Amino acid sequence: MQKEKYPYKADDSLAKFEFQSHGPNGIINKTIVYSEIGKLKDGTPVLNLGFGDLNETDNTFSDISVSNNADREKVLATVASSVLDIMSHYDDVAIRAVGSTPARTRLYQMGINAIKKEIESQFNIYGFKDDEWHKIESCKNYNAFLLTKKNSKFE
Amino acid sequence: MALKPSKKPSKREKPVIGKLSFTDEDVKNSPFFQKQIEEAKRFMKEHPFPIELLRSK
Repeated sequence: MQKEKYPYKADDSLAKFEFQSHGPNGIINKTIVYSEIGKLKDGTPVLNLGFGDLNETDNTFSDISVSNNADREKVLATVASSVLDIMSHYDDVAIRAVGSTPARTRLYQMGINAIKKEIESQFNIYGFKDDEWHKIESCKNYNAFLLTKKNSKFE
Repeated sequence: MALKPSKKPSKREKPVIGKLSFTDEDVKNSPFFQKQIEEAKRFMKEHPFPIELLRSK
């Protein structure tokens, strides 16, 4: 991944990450948490990508604030990089991502579109739209995303 | 998470591994993350991913 991203730290299971966003509004602590939410029919575990700001004074999380820290692309690239880390760390896993608001889901979509060619060489990307899962297409908007490894089981 | 680590070596630069500013307990006690996780579970139950899509090119 060539895009500029923040340096980040992970726990040893690579299920939790943290980094700091730096910008005109100061330093904002960002967290990424992957949690198992179920399995695909073939047994592949599905992890939810959780993303939020960490308030270090009481270790609570939120995403209510719009940070406006003028670093949206860098933050997105950092989140995308954590996805690649967890996908390469675990044998067989799928990641589900959805923004906390439709605007944030669109932001994820912009991030995916920006590196679509790069990620499609290694992964399949699906989007949920009109009550169905589809292979993702650049010009369409989706309500949720699922990423799987290009898998020898099926290809 | 009881997931199997990959046996394939990754060519990617690894992130720094270490103690984070927050713990598993903080995540478990976080209404923010718990709500996200519950919604995600419900969503996947109501809209299961069709495995046939993985087989299609």
